[in-house]
Amino acid sequence: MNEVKAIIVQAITAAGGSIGWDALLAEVPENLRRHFIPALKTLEAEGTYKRQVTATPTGATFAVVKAQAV
Amino acid sequence: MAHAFALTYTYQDDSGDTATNAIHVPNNFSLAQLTEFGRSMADLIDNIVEGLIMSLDLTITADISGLTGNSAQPLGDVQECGTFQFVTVDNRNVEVNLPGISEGLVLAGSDDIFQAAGAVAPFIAAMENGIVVTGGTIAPCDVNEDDITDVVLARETFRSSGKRR
Repeated sequence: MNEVKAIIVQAITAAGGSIGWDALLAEVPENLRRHFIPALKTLEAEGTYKRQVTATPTGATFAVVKAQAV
Repeated sequence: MAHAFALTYTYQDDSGDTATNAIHVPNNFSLAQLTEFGRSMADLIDNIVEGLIMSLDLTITADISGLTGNSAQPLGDVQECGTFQFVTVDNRNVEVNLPGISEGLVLAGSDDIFQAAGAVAPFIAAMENGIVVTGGTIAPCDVNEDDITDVVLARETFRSSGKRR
């Protein structure tokens, strides 16, 4: 799971602190995806990143963002 | 098109039978104002009816005409539900059933819904963390207003059609 955590952190950092779900998922190799959600939730529990859904006039947007930016 | 809010009263008679009626009101009033109105109206109704007024539900409608892809697909079936079980900060279960779950989101050879799917993950995140709206974040809760913190399972289930409350 630590490998997936590292991939997630790197992808979010490279994207400037906020990344769409599909783009983030695409960064994780198929054989490691079973660790994807546990890794993400661990990062969220650590306060590093947060899943965020934002309402807009035309619909909701979804991203994984740095906690500091929330 | 204007969409009025509904105040739904549920009545019970001496033999235990229940019935409901609704009174619609304009949608430009606050929750506090609507509650005040509903309570006052219940007073007036109570003077008229011989049954027990059991409850008052405020049904607040919203304009959803801007949804994209909101259509009944040929293979869709509201009896096939996506059952999401969440847990609150106090370890209470909260179940949400979504009628007509897409079969494409169910993992092959199981009843499990693929939680990491691009269409599913935002829903789970919104249930757990809320949705950022103008001036704050609205996060779903249980009947005691305890915050939902985690998803326990997401599974396809089958239920007869009807209400999902």
